[in-house]
Amino acid sequence: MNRWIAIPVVLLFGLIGGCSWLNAPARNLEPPDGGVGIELFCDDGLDDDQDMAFDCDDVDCAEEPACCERRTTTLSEDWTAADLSADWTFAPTAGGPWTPFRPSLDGTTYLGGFLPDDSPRALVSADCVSLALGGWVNTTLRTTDSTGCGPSAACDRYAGVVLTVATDSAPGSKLQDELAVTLHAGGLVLVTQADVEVARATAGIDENVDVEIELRPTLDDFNLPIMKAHVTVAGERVLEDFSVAAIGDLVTAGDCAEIPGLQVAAQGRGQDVYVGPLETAKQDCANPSQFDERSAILSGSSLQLAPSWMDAYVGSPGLASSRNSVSDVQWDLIVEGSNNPPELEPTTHIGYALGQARVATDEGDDWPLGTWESSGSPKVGDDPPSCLDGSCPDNRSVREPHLLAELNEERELRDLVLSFARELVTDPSERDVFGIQIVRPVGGPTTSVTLPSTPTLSPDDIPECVSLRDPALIPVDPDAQQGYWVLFTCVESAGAATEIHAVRISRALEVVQEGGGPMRRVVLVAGELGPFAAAGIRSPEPLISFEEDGMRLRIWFLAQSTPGDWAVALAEARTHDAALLEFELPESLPFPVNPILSNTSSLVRSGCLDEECNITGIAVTPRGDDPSRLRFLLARRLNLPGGGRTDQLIPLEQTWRKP
Amino acid sequence: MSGNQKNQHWRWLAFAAVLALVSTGCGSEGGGDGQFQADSGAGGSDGSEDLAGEGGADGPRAPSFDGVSGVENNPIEQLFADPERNPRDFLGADAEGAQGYSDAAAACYTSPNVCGAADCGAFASCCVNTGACCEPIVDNPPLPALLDFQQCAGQTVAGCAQAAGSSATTFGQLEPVLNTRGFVPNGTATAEGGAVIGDPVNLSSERVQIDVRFSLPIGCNGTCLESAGVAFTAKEPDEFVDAEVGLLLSGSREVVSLMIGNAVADSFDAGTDSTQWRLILSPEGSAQVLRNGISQGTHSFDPAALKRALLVAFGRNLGAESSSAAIAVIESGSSLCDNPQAWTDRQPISITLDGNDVPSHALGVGPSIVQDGARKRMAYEVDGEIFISEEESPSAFFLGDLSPALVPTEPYEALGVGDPELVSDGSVLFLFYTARNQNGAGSIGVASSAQDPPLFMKAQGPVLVPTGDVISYDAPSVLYRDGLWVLVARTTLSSAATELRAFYTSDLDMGWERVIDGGLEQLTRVEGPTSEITDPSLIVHNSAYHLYYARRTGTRWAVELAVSDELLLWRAMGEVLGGSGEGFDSLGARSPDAISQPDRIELIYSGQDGVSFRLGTASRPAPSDTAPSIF
Repeated sequence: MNRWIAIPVVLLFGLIGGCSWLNAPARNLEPPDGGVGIELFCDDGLDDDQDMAFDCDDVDCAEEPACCERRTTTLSEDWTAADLSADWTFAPTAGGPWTPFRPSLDGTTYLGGFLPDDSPRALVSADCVSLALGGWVNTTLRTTDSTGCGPSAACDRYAGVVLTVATDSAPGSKLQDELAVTLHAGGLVLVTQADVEVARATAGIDENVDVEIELRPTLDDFNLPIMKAHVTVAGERVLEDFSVAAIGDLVTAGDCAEIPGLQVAAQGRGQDVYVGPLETAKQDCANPSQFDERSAILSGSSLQLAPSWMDAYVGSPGLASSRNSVSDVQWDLIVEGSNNPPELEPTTHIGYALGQARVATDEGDDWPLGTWESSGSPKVGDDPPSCLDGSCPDNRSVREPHLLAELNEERELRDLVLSFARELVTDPSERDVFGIQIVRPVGGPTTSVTLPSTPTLSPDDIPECVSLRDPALIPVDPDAQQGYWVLFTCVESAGAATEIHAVRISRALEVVQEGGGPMRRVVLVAGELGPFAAAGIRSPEPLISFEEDGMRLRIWFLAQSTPGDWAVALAEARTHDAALLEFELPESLPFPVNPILSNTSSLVRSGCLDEECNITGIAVTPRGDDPSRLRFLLARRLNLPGGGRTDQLIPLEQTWRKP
Repeated sequence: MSGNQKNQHWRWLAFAAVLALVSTGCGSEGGGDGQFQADSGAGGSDGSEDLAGEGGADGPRAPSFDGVSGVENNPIEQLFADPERNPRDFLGADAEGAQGYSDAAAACYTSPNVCGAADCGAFASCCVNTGACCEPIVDNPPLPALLDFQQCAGQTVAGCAQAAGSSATTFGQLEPVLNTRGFVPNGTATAEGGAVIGDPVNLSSERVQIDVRFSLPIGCNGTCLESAGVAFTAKEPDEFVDAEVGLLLSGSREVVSLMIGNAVADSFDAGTDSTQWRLILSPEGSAQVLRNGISQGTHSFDPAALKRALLVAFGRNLGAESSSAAIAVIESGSSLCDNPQAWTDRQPISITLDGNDVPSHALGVGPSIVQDGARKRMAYEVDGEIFISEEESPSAFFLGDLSPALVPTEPYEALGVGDPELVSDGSVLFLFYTARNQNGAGSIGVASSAQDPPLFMKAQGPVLVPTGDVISYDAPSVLYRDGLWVLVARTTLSSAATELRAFYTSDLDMGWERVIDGGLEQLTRVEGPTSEITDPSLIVHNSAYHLYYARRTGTRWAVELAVSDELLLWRAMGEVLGGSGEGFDSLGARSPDAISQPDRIELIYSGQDGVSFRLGTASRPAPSDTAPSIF
């Protein structure tokens, strides 16, 4: 059985929700409820911290997506503007102009009088409202009609709020409703989807009927992200956990380009039934899909790296940030590169080397384009690393570097720990077998690194993997005194990798043994993650944070739904007992709206020829001057006008504050 | 036992052993709940009880034929889709009993791979979406049968292809070379070289087999740039061939790789110059590699992205032509298969009157199309009345006038007539329809016409009326073949659940018998408000029943397909036509109506774009005479 499917969806979402706090405003570090820690999982039905408050009832969970009540208003309409056409489309647009009445009832302006009353009419929001990461729609409905229609039967005079993918309706027809709440003359309230009743309530005449639609993302039985709704009418919950739509079916244009959503509409027919002020909000607790773009898109040349070894390709960045004594922020960047394009990989062996660059900036400043201190030639590896004419058969590739910055209390750099994939060749025809090398200290860009004769970890140590790629380190304690876990891609065959593993490494950079072999854990398995990872996963980029009340681990990684279509995804884990990390890794679970960045994201496609770009890697590090800000480096490969391809490293940021 | 059956007997015994393994867990006990009874009354009232279904399925699922009594409680010999073809003749004596027949079907319908195996050739339903029963393309094949490049040494690539009755267009910085090693692609470090061979191939409907023999490079070390490959690509090659699916010889690695999505999916030892490589691409999306006739494995690829796939021979060489990697020989064959998702030419239908568009009719609902002699006629409903138009071209129909062909006139039609279904018995054109009474309950009516243009006369009363636990029938689909009439209609039960039910008769005046204890009801049953199944369309194609129907999930409509040999045991194919992402059917499709044509299925439907539903048309290749025969 699929392990995912075996996990109840609510629990799953709870686990996921319990670990997302990106973009969350700062919170008090003290457990706010006086319990022994925090409510680890906010939707598992358990009182994890034994403070007599369960899940969302525990204030510990207030900021988590499963419970988040923090709202950012995305639409607020009180119907008082002289001209509504700037923000609303009058549907049906083919049915000729019409103007709704806007009576004032008890001092509040309502929208009503959808006339002529021969057919439904609606005002559809000009902008899409982002809802895929959770949100709310609130309005007040009211009818003044006490005659003609009863409280239990639908009436041909009605008004309500509609969530729809459509921006228009056909004359004589209602909007296509993903979800609608409609008050009929006489007092019947119907909740519908596809104009089919899914719930009902009864309202009083000439009374305000408050309506709230609460939307939250989750996964269905097939691990597909969907949006579910709770509907509350006049304070009564009339619909719970109702499947509104697949996230993939939501609108992704306009204001919903980055976070999918729906159009919201006020729809009605006839008069005496009204829609009051309408407000929508998006959840403001977690948004891993939203990045702030920063200036200075980097290339190999802007990093001052010598073209002799990387003029055909540069990518797979590793990034570290710290404070230094001279400037505010020091950035260490290491990349892989080659003088031959990676597209030749299926054809022949391509060699790669690693180069390092460093720059210091003032606090909050963007990176410069041309003043990086650079290793010039490869920091590790050969120059050139690749020879198609057979002139350098003894060269060995080094690839996929990762930097772990070890900082002191002032956040100054104590050590850089470099890990990378190191090619192992025992037979000239068996190229592309890699082990993992971990090196400390690393020094600055011009400091040379001497490699030991054997790698830290080789495939011989792990029979399930024919090659070990994409290593990345996390410490098992805040100062890494007890060592590390190295996460890596386990290559099982000639095809795309499907598993990410981790092996325990001591402070002395030796493999910790357990039961006659390396202490090893399987971290992520593509087949258990969902369709977005159906064709493979690779390149973990973990980030760990230690708090007074536990540990949180987030792993960004690349996933492909079909071969060649790599996207960035996110999985998260947390544990109450950080001391356990020395022996165990908590289970990582995927964010419900994966991938968080894909080749179709406007952020990735922007500036690409024919909007065709491929994601090749991602790096992340907390900023040295503000650990609540995460700096990402997205590597993409794009076509050049007239032929050829090039690479770019795009800086992005997200805010992350500790709970 | 016939001689043919004797010959099949031992084969069946072996097959039965396999079935015993693969059918483990498939329900086979019991004969239903014993509550079913055939309708025997004239007028077609349905006196049967409810089926104990489990609700509408989300896509295809493994069959579970618990109610095998359907095989013995219906005149199965009469119900076979092809009266000339009886699966039992294939299966042999062991399948004579209902249990054996049901077990055989359940085992075969377990998966496309099993269904496509030769032992499941008994069931014509297994021709659909399995890569089986494909029809070789012999007239103007898109790819050359044989390109012996070594024999063409010294010629141009185009000349070699032309001599083989095909064509080739070279690309790359240097012209590919044909020498005694074969086709040397002559690509460089910065640009691939090679040739596009033959015409585009639709890999979503064609099964293609490529046989290749490579000439391995001589003296290639671990980093030499010697490669040669054969692959299908979706776009014209540039510096890099996007090998969507194909084989690539890497001289430095001494492997032949299966490329899928321009990435290595698997690699195999390259062997020698005499090693024979075979790549079999099936339209359901499987790519199988064989090395010297031995399967090396099967991987998935996306055939939907390769409806105009170009075959390219390509590669790179930096060494001397005399020692380069090369392609010695390419042999290819293609055949047409039944892939129910391989629709092409999806476009909206226009309806005109005297050359002027009638927009409201293009939004007509519940379309039905029929081949009426040399003409195709389409019926649809507009505002509770039924209109009939005639085809001018596949996406253009015209009206003789704006008069409806059928209007409500009877008390049982108080709320209108709709869901038209046109069917011809060769001499008379019949129009079945839903008649809704003042309570909204539907019954099935019929009218007929023997003249041209048709002038329909209604029967004296509805031919199928709800009784007992059934509160409504609607959306009829009617099939006529060889003296047998088959009707499928949506049935609404008093519990508000709906399901599709099948009926049959050999004489329209004698009423309809219900097909009982079959699997259709369970397959199509829906009980909640968030989903809906309706608009069945039943045809016989390639000796099997094809039942298209529409399913709503939330607000989105999609057309699904189930196939059967005898109306009792069904293979669910799941969604076959959904939203196209753009245009009139961007969000979905419903109201399918299919007609079977030689080697083709044509479909009209209603496309959903979020604002309205508009009539549209689509078609797909589908061999019509390839179901295995033992006669």
